[in-house]
Parts: sequence; structure tokens; C-alpha cells
Amino acid sequence: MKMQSLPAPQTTAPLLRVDNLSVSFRTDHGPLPALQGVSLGVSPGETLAVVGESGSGKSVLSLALMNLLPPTATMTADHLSFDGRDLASLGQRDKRALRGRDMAMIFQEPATALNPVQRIGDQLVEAILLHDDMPRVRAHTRAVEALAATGIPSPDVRARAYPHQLSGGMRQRALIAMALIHRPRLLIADEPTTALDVTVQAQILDLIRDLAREVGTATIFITHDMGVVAEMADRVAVLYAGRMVEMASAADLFDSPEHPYTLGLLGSMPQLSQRGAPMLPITGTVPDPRHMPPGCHFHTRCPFANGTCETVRPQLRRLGPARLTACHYAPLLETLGART
Amino acid sequence: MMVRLLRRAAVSLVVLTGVLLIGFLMLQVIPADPAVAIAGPQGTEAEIEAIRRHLGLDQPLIVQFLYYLQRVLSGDMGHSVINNASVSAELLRAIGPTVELMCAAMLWAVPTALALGILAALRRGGIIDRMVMTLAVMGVSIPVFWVGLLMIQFAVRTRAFPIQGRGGPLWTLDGLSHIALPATALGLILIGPIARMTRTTLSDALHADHVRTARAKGASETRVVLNHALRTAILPVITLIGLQIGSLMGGAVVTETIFSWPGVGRLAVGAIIAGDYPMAQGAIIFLASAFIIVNVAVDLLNELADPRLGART
Repeated sequence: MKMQSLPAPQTTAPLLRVDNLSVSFRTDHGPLPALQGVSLGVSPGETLAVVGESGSGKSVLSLALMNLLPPTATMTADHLSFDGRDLASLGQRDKRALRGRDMAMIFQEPATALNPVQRIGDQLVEAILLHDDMPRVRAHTRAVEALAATGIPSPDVRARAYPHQLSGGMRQRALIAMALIHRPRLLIADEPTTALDVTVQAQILDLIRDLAREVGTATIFITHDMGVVAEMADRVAVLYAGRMVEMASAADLFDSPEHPYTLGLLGSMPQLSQRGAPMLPITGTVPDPRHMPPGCHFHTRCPFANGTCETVRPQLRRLGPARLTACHYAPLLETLGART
Repeated sequence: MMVRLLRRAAVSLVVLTGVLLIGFLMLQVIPADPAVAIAGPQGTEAEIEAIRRHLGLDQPLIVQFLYYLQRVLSGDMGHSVINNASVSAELLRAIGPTVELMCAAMLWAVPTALALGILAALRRGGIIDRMVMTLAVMGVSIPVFWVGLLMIQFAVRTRAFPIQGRGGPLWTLDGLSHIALPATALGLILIGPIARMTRTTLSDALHADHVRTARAKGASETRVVLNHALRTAILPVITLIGLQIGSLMGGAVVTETIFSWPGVGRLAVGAIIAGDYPMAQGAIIFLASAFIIVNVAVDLLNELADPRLGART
């Protein structure tokens, strides 16, 4: 049942490339697949959004790329390279040297992602000293500068504060400062704004985009929020139940989604429904990974599914130069337009 | 912080008064009349009555208690009815050996328990984990007096250690060999709870978000465990160690009795058995006050270690 692996569509040489990545977790009830046959790449300066519901495997993907999966996870990939170096061949020490310096990560929960019993400044200083050799005092100055760059007011005071003394937005700014302190070449942001207020959300998104642009970093942006995707992404990969179901440029994806799941995520189907017709949300929930339906994993929730979908799993197909989808009926507009 | 401290002190004072009251009442219900004991077998009824009046035993309970409070507060805890020795002086003499024994027990048991707990957490579900947890359960379930008796049996057969009393100062071989067995027996009480708690909190902390952040920074696994996971996991363990000092004192009473260690515990047991009313009261009050003070100290220590607690006032 191995999915045919298509190389990710790419225009420039990718900074990070992964082919046919699968991750499964060891559980008491046997292995639990979390990701299957995912291939993607991201180029310098580019922002790739990875979208999907909870349970689609997007957080597992980010942890797998950072080599931060828990010991209960098993990961396989045909190819996994960063800046032309094969990550699989690197030892723990070399991977650690990349982590935090060349590849950095921002996490979802700023409330818990910072060490509760360490001052903010000390946490940044640690991040600096792990990869740069310099006197502690200078590292501290640099930490305060980094906090200032994220727009935290009176950064020297905040550096002496503990995480619980800061607001959620400020904590996330501190985490961003920490992640970007070594001007990483790849930044993975795992739902960095989900836990924040909407107004703070917009500021944090701007901050990540501006700093990433300034540093010239490639960004993988994990989210379930299509509004955030529209705001941030150059390209979009859509995950469903551990598999990639669509990949397209952000413009193409919003203009003409080619997978019914993407349509559902967008929340409405303007191209297919009559003007004024009710929106079409996705019904049901993500299927249990231990009891995946046969055929297309989405068929139980898909409004267009028919007999073929229940038995034959659609493979990722190339629709355009930078466009992949895993639906029998793509391109949707032609096929379904003809059917209805 | 200051307000919290004062409030803690006030509460402790109330608890302490309660302890004094309970200690006072407990010995009231014991079916032994101190006046009779003091008068001895040849004491006449008149003599007993005179002693009773002298000790204030003819007064109502509440008056007796108030007198008693007044005397305790002025540092006078009365005199032994057996040998007329000052209770305060006897206690002062016994505190040193008890503190020494408890410190010796903690000195080996706390680091050992922490190390075992850390090992078990890092290899959770593995052979080491299971061995450590079995040991921990054994440590909790086997009573101190039984371990003490086994040790005495062992020491008598091998003649490796003295089994009674306190030797010279601890930096001499004599002192060390005397304290070895009682400290080992007493320390075993601590191993189980501390190792278990460390294992639980550390294995939780190893999956905490901030520990993942530390890994994402590129910190080595040793650094991740010691500086990040253990730093937060240790907080409940500190509290537990503080609470365990209570059971350590209980254990000290037993251990001191078995090994004839001249501490407060043996003093208390001896006094209770001999019906030495003021001495037993003094020892009980001392043990209880020590317990309360230690708890306040642990609270303060926790506050220093966890910045989040200080902010809650």
C-alpha cells in the first residue's frame, strides 16, 4: 500500500527536501500511523504552509523535520536533506548543531513552551551560548537586543522576568526572538498564533513574516486557519489523515482548490454552488488512524464520493507545474461540472 | 512574601498550641498517676496529696494547661519525676544526636533516591525502572524496626559494626561505625517515596513543552534532563522531602530505641515507658514543634525554587 512518491514540484533548489516521509507511533494496540508518504520541499525565502485539521499529522511533520519526535515514534523517509546534507547520515551531535542554529522552531503554546522557572533572558542566553562562544554578559546584551527586535516594550526589564509575568503575546514574542536569534535558514512555526487573541495574532504574524524576510529564512508554517494561510503562504500543502492530498501555490489553491477537503477547509464552494446557496462545511471527523476507511480516506466525509472512492485510493497526481492533488475527480470543476 | 511568611508563622503558632494541648491531654488520660510515681511505693496518702498540690494536679484541667503553657514559654518544661533532671537540659542534650542521625540518614538516602528516580524515569518501563520501583515498594513496606533487627543480627554475626549507642565524633572511625547501621536503617524510609516521586515528576517533565523547546534549541540530552526537566520536576520532590522529615522523626524514635541512640526519640520512649510525665511531654512537644518548623522551612525553600509561587500573594 506504499504510496507512489512524486518529487515535490520545485522551481529553485530546495533548502529542505523530504521524500516519502512516514511516521508511526508505537502503542499498546500496535503501530499507529501518523504520517504516510509525505514529500515536500521548501526553498530559501519561501513560506510553505501546511494545513489540516487536528489529527492530520501536521505537528508530527514539524517534529519529524526537527528530529524532535518522541522515542515511541518510528520515522522512515526515502530522502531527507537540509542544504544538500543528508540528515539521515548525520550523528546526534551534528543534528544538534543544526537544531536551534540553522533550523529553529516556534511552538503553539507560548504559555508552556518556555521554562517556567528560568528567567526569559537566561533562556535566550542559553540559546545563544549553545551555538556561539561568547562571554555571558555579551550574550545577555544580545538577548535583550533580540527581544527589542520583536517589539517587546522595555526588553531589559522583560529579560529579568519569569514567563508567568508576561502576557501570552509577549511570551510568543520571546519564543520568536529565541528561535530567530541565530538567524536560522529554516524556521518551522507550529500554529504559533492559535493560543493568542485575534489582535495579537495579526501582530505576531506580521512579526514572523518581517523577521523571516529580513533574515531570508525559509518558513514552514503549520496551521489549520485558512485566513493565516492567505496572509502568510507562498505555497500550501494540505494534509488529511496523515497523507498529503493537495499541494499548490497559495494563489492557485484559493482560486481553484482541487481536492474536496481543501474546499471544505475553505468553508465554502463558490465555484460549484449557486449564488446565495448555503456554505458547505465538512461533516464528521477525521477517521481513527487504526481504522482508516478503504479507498480514499476522505470518502466518508466527501460530498462527491461514489463507488470508486470507496475502493480505490487516489494517488497524488500532477495537475500543473507546481500543483498536485489526490482526488479521482480533479480537476474538480470540469469533472463535477459535467456530472451535475 | 513577607505577608505570607507572617501568616504562615501565625498559623504555625495556632497549630503549636494545639499540639501542646493534645500532648497535655494525652498524658492526662494515661492511667498512671505521677504523684503516686513520685511518692514511690512507701508514699503515704498525705504525701501523695502534697505532691499533687505541689505539681498543681488538683487544679481544673484548663488551669493546669495555662500554667503549663506559661512554664513552657519561659523555657521551663519541668523536671523528670524519675531522677529530677531538668527536661529542657535533657532535651538539649538529646537534640544533637537526633539531628545527627537524621542528617546522616538523609545525606545518603536523598541523593540515592534522586539518582534511582532519575534512572527509572529515563529508562521508564525498562529493567532498571522495575528494579528501582520494586526496591521502592520494599522500602515503604518493610518496617524500620524489622530492618534494624536484621541489621543487628548481621552485625552481631560478622562483628563488623557496633550495634549500640553513639561513638566518638563523626569524623572518627568510631563515630562513623556507630552511626552506620542506624543511619542506614532510618534512611531506607526515605528511598521509596522520594524515588517514586522523582520518577513520576521527571518522566512527566521530560514530555513537557518547555523541555521540547530546550531540545529545539539544540541542547544536549544531559543538559535537557538536568537543567530543564529536573529543574521543574524537583519542586514537588522538595516538598515531599520536607513532608518525609515527619516520618523520619517517627522512624528516628524507633531507630534510636533499637540501636540505643541517645536522642530525643529514645528519651520520649523511655519516658513514656517509665511514666515520666514531664519528660514525655517535653519530648513530644519538641518533636511536634520541629515538624512544624521544618514544614514552614520547606515552604520557603519551595518559594525560592519556584518563582511562580511567590507571585501568588
